[in-house]
Amino acid sequence: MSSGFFDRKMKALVVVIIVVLGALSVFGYVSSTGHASSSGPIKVTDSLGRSFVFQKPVTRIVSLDPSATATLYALGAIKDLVGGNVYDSYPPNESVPNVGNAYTVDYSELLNLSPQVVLGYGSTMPSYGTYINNTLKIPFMLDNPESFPQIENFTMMLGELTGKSSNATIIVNWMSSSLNAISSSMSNISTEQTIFYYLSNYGGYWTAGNNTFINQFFLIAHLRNVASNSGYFTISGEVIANESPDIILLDQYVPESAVQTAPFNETAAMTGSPQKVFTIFDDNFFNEPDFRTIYAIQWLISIIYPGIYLNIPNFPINLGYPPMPNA
Amino acid sequence: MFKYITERHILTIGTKTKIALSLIFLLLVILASFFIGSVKIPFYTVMEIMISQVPVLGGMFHFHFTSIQHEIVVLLREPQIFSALVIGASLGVGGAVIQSIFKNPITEPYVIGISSGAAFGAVATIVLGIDILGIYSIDLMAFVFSLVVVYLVYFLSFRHGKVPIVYLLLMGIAVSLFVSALVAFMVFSNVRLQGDVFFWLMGSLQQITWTELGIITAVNVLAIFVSIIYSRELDAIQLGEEYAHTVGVNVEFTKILLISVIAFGVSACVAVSGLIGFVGLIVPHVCRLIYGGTNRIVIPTSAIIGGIFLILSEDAAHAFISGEVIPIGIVTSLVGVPFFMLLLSRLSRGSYDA
Repeated sequence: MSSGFFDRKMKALVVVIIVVLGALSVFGYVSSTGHASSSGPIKVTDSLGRSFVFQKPVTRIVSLDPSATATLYALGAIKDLVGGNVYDSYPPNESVPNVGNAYTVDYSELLNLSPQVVLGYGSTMPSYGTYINNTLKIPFMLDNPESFPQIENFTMMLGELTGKSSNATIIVNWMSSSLNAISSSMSNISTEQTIFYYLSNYGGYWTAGNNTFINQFFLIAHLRNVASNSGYFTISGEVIANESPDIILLDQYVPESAVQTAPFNETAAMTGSPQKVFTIFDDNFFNEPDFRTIYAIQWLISIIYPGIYLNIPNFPINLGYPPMPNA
Repeated sequence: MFKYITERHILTIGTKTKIALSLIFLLLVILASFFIGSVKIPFYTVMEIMISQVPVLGGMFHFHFTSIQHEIVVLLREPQIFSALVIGASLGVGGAVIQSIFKNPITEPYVIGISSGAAFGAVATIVLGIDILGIYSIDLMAFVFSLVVVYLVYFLSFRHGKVPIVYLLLMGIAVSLFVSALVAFMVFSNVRLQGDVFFWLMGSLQQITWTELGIITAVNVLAIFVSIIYSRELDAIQLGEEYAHTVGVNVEFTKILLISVIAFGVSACVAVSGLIGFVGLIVPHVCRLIYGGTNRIVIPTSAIIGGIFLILSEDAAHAFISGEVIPIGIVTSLVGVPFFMLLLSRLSRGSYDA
């Protein structure tokens, strides 16, 4: 009888200990991640529609996408970045090793870093992405945000992936507020000026037309792009001369001397007083689809409509390297 | 004294007629191209603009075109048409001469290092941000490095006071590959400029100015003229260098002279247009197929056919997609290869021997 009694007591004790340890374990897990993971595994989807499941927020990330790197920094997850790429510009002074660029990846370095996930950028799967995913068995997530809603989704996805969903929400709300502020400021602008974006002066007049990221900036700023075709292409000089754009926007690497001759020299942008030829202050703000594009639009509107006051709220997260230009 | 006495080539009536027809066709292509472009300008307006440029005639009438229409025709279309003519002629003649010197039908001017040298100069200018002559910096650097590589290939090929053709060909390929690797390394070291470099390499006639056109025209008129004068010597070399010696040809002098003039001419073109493939390789064959004959025929007709081909390619580059201009280097191959295959099958009936 006594032995049976003690057996039952021992069994009960073991059950209690298991339950307590289990409860502590779950409690500790939730506390360490802070949020978002109490509902179980993290399921995220990339731009190709492929789903990835992680049991908990990842802490070892390699980013081959400068937008992802910038967003990770803003989310407060830069400590989880173990490898970057040669395009990374924000935050400055990145200390992690470069693993590659848009064309090549150093697989040895990549393996050495033991990432849980590799973030890439592009509309189609690069060959190295397939290799990383299928051969090295490291999840390779591709993203390609091409609109502000997609940037917001991308930010939320990274927030979820890193366990920083609350910060992601703050950033997304800030983007929405900023876009609303820009929209209300632009409501008084009824005239539509024409703009030509000079992307590169090598091998023709390269520009960006419809369905490009920068064209969305023009639409928000009530500008009509004289390059009406889709995507990036070499526009005919005749179209530039004939359309005579009011504004010429030069890429960071296009010199002003490139517009001193035909087909530019007789355009409204060049013959007006003052001339309306502007050089983009930093390509990264225009070409990298992340939360910092808000500042690109702000800059564009401020140079084209000097009288407009844009009341964009301050960035809501205190960062060591502020995200605004020239900060 | 030049003792080259191989079969005299007599221009037959048929060949003369073909050349005359080709010249008429070239003239028609040039005239038609004035009316082809992304912006529609009425026929009479283009005519008015053309007449307004004639020194005395232009002052006798009152014209009704706008300044934009004048700018499009005079500053955009005309330089493109005439640069296509000059560059096409240069590449065509360059191809004929190089194929004769190398006695090899699958060579072209680029084989002696012109393209890799020009690419090196241009890419170095872009990647390193060299700004010697403002907007002409790339032109100058591409031209200089193109010549540097050509002469490097030539002097590295020297063996016992001669430049054996096989050495020259192999050295050209080897040095070109080496220089191309340097170009790739420069691009790799500054990935942000990969787009710019890629754009330049695809070739374009869109941004050539009258000043650039004047320079390349002067250089190439000289190059084509010298090539025509030395066409008999080239014929002899094509039959074998020993044979050429026996008929009194100064083989080494002829080779360095012709390689030099072709290098100067083609390098000047490539410097302003970027790399345009296919023309130098195929146009001489087209001329041999159409006109037959020796270099006395092939060299001048390569200038005509090269010019026609590149003008038509430039027109096609504007016409493919409204408002856009496809890089000319893409168009020359897309348009030229099917045409050449058709011509080869129609004219040669399987018996063409280059």
